[in-house]
Amino acid sequence: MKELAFFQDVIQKSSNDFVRQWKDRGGKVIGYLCPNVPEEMILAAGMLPYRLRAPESRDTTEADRYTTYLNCTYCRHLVDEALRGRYDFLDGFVGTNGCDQMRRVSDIFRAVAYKEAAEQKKFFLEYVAAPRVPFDERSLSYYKAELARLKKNLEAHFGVAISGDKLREAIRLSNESRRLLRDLYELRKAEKPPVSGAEALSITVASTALPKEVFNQSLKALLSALDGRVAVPQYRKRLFLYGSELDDPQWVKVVEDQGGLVVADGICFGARLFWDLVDESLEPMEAIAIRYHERWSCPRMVDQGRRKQRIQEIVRDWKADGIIGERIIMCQLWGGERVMTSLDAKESGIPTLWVEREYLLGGTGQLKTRVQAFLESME
Amino acid sequence: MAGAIAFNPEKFQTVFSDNHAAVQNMVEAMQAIGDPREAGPIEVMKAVDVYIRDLFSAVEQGKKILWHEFLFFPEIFHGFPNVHTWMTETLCGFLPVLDPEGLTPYIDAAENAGLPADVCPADKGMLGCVLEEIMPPVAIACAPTSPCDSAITAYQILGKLIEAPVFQADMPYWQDERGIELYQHHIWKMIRTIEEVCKTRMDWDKCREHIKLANESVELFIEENEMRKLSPCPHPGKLGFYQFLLLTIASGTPYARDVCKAILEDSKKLASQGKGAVAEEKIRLLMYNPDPFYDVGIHDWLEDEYGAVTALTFFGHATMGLIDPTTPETIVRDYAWKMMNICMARQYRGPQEFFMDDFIHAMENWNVDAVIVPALIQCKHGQATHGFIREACKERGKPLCLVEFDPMDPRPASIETIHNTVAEFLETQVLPYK
Repeated sequence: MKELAFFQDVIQKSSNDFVRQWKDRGGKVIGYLCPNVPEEMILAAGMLPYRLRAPESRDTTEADRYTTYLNCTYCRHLVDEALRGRYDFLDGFVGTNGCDQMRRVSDIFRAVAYKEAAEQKKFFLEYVAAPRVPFDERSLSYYKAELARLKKNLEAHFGVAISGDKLREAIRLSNESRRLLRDLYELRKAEKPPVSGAEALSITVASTALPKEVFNQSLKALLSALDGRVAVPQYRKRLFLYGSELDDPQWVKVVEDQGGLVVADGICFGARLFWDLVDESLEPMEAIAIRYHERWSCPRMVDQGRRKQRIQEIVRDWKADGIIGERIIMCQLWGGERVMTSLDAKESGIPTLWVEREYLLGGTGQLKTRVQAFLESME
Repeated sequence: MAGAIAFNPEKFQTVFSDNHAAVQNMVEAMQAIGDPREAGPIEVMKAVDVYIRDLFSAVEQGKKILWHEFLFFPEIFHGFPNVHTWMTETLCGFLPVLDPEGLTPYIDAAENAGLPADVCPADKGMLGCVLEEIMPPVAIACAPTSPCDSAITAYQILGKLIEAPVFQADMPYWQDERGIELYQHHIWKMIRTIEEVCKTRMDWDKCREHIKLANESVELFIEENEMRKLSPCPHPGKLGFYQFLLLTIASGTPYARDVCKAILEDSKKLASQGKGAVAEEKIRLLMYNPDPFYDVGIHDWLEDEYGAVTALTFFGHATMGLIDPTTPETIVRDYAWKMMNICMARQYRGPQEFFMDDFIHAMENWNVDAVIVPALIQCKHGQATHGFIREACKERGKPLCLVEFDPMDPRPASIETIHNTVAEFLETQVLPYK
């Protein structure tokens, strides 16, 4: 299906033709790792926000001058790609304290990979420090101040003005993406959803790799074309996917090939990316800060109770039979979340399986065996 | 794991009585050995004896027990009447000191409950102690979102395990005025939460007295730090470990102050006599990351075998300041700043410069010949700082040994393995060039 293939193709590599075309027209691209960096800020500056991945990375030799085998492979591969100059399409990078290891990725980008370019003012480097306690007015103020600094420095470095109107337009565009993605996810409530979990992930990942207008238009076209489509005519069980950074639809496909259809998720490149809207009735900077600070959180935020509730609602509403959790080895935050969701699962009776993985797809034999056993246990 | 874990008085009594006896036996054994290097550690372990006895009394009297993470020094909590403090990671700190494998059953309990092996052993150990029902009763647990991801997740898990609220204060990322504003706000919020949960009110006069004692301890600790710049270094390398652990459990108490005073007085006496931890100081080392808790004797071995004194350790690096006790506002504000600057809270958050600046400062100011960095296997931000550490040592011409181990569990890297690694380093990279 060409409308779907578009998304699947565009995420195959670290960059894509739309980024190249953007650059050819004189556009700037700002990289980021974690949604604590609001894409609206970058959009409002007239730039393309690009969430970095490393699908083409094959080893971490360069990275391991700074990282070690005891760091998560997502971070190691990102650093490796940066040190090898494979993110040469970037004009800037905004780091954040998503997790301890991501902090060091930002440090290595700043102190090593992009140091010279930044010193020559050819590369924009900035950092957004996000607090960890949601629904606290002072933590929110702290975050707002971080975003204000990001805005000011974007303006200063690139000689642009980020007006209220530009922010509102950016919010509108991003919210449009979010609504369209919610519409897509609503379709997955059906007994025979029109997209599989793997296909859905390719779409959500693509939302972080394309100009917003291109993404929105393409997704609208896809939604129109999905009418009557059944992605997987037969499956064994419906699954909710939860866990660490996962940007590879092939991993989800391995799970789904065993008969478990992923109908919803709570992953970082998936639903947690777009679930909550920015309130367009508020002053834009305030609205952006509130949305990002109080959105569906990851385990870096100390509000597991809210995550538990959100998971239970989605599992119920999407009629998931079980939960598959995945953790990139060496991720402590998701290691802890694994324990908490397992406790919750015992309480709720929702069958739950947690698997460990590396950033790049591997160990598929073991994954297949475990998923098969899990599905059997639910039958 | 299932459901909330209630206080188990029998298990608590059994385990704590055994460990209390072990502490007392350790003190006697150290006294019997008669090694002058044990003088400071003996005083610290006597203080631990007092700490445990006070805990028994508090439990008996039915006082509200406030658990605080090690990066909330307890002086501020001593201002609450009828509230007794328990440093949540106390057993993690002292069990391996008493017995190298002392914490391993609890680490295993946490891992058996699903916590991955690559989580910090302090957090695995703490949660394991909770799961094994050996911890004292708890009215409320308080922790900052520091020093790392492991602690942030551990205290969220704790909140699901215990029948008490867990308060997590938002530790700021940056080291600036905005950060102090944020953190003091959360500390005020913590105080109000404690008042509500423990049905008490902060007695600021009482608090002030404990703050003053804490200040005295800090001044003494800072001065001891300065004494360690002398050659010969008056005190052994292991002392910083003991002194920091003492402050995490008992900062703000008269006995902690008295121990710090005794340590400094001894330091000055030794310095005036030209004496040091080793008769002939051949090598001065910096050890910058937590020592192996089950082998603090590594410092004795370094001193005896190589005449190598650890002039400064990470735990022994006094980076915090004083608290102005004048008003509740100055107390809370300066407590916030102090807690942002104690060991680990200061270096482990923020950009790599927060660690590296202190590391470089220590390297340059304690006159060290070589550097050992415990490369803690579960410490993720630490692991990704190694490249910067290597560069800094290379720039300054300091030989560097990165030695991997688990700080509280001797199984991943045995005491022998660690010693062999360090021995090879000293014999091939340091001694030939001295």
